[in-house]
Amino acid sequence: MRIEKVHDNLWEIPRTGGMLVPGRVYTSEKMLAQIKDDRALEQVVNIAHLPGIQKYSIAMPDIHWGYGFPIGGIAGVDADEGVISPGGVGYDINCGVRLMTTELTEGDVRPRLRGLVTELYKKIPSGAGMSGDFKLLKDDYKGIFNKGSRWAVERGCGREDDLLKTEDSGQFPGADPGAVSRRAYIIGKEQIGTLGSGNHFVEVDVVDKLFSPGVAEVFGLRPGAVCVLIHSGSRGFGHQICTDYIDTMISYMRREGINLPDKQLACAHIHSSEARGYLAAFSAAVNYAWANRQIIMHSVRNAFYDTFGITERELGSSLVYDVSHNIAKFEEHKVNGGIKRVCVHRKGATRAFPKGHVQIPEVYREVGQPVFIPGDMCRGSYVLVGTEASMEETFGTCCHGAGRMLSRRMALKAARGRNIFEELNERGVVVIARGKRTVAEEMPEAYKDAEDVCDVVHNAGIAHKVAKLRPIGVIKG
Amino acid sequence: MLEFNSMSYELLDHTADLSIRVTGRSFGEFLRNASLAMTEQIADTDRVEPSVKEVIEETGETKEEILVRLLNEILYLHETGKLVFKDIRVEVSNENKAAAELWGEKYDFAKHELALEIKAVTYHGLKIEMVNDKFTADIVFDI
Repeated sequence: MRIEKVHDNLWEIPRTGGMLVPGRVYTSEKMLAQIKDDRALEQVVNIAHLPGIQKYSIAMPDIHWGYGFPIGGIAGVDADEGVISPGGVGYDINCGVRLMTTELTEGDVRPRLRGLVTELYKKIPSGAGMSGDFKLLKDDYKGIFNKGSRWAVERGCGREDDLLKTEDSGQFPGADPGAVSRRAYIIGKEQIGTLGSGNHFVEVDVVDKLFSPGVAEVFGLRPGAVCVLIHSGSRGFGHQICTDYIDTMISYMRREGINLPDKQLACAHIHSSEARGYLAAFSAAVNYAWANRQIIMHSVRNAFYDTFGITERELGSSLVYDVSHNIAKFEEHKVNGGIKRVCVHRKGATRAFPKGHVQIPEVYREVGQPVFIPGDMCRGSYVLVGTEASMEETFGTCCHGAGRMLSRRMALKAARGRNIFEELNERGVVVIARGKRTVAEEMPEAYKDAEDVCDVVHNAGIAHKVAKLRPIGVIKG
Repeated sequence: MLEFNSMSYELLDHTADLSIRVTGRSFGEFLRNASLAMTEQIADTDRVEPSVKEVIEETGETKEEILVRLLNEILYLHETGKLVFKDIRVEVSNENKAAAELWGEKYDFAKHELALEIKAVTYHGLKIEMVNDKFTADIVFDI
């Protein structure tokens, strides 16, 4: 495959064969070599075949081989003539990250850090097969589908100001209970408020370094302050909706004679009844995920109160932002010199709107939208801010994480004979997880260095670095 | 780079997810091996008693559809019935239909460690082909 350098942090795959647009990959020369090791670039090419795709099939520096779309893949598709692809969102609909700050410092937390991490692990059901404290009834579903995070806040899990600082206020329009399968209802019944497994986590961090003190201040990030990153999604409820509608879309494509290089890209024209059904069920899952992260944050607050014997007044917690990285959204973007309505598929990619954009919370409108790039439990996570260049180049989107480098199998091999928990402990990070295998698969060296990833988007100008967070405690599934 | 697990499947390298190469002398055996390959990733099947029986039937326009639907149905039973499986028998009645009988038990965290949460079975690159007279496919699971 031919790949040409546009500049130090951007590479282009020219149009060949059935590609409707070229591919564009934001990466450095060093990381490009790693990216070529798996089949992610082939997937960038496949995305370029989606009917209605505009400008480029785009990949972020955390790109790695997924299924259908690469992880770190972005496609802006014509909102009238184009298609929607459930695989372009992923099974974990509205998987995302939220960051909460506190008034506590590392000095306050360190003496009882293991107690705090234990308490987080006790309060947040984590790992495969774990049920949450809520058993959802029909009315609860109605509330979640329509209100998302607000449903959780009305149930006592959070505060009004949490909603103001969530993407779309944590409430996505257009959900239709009738579009959701019975199977999704059954799976979702006991999973709200659970973390899940794999790469999902709750991470206790310390604000370690500021790159942009002015913006950090607006985000409420003070040097030395303890904060918490939460990464989870719509759990089995979202997985089932994606499974259901990929089946629907495969039948649609057969009927309509649409051929794509990979069946996992199954899609339907946006105005078809199949696409409308998917969007109505997908919106329910988006709201389920926001309610889920809201409940998890509530449990995080309770874990701090109980561990340190303090109240909210002393904790002083505040949500910085909650942002999705597996989603499809109808937005207006610049295309061929005009403004066009496009459906932006973000698969392992984060919205990164610039200052002044009406869709970001008023408190951030002077600086831009916060973006979170979780790292690898050890080397650090990053807070960035969206820029105008992201609107010009990437449909207002930036990367979402460090990006895997080793396969899970290779990571397990590398972890053989080692105690990853102990290694992280020696580096000042207390980790508690249900599965030993999860921690081995998720070991730091399985990931790219988040700093390399952030440097690419920073240098390319599509987001700017604001702060570095240093992990001190992690729970995983 | 391949790890040899048993006669019927091998774990392959996949950066983010799980990829398994499955083979079978007949389509029925292939489906059974694929089902066992998946359930063996979820839990240690040696610790599972075959005390509960579930019966499922799946149809599809293609072999790939039958495979993905069958595996997704097993995941659904695992998640909603809180079951782990040990023995699986599959019968293919015609080219568009397969029936499976699954034996297992309710999982109990004191006895079973659930090693992996599989979100779904994907169609990514999925093609069931005859290789050395065996039905063969690389199946990618989202985890």
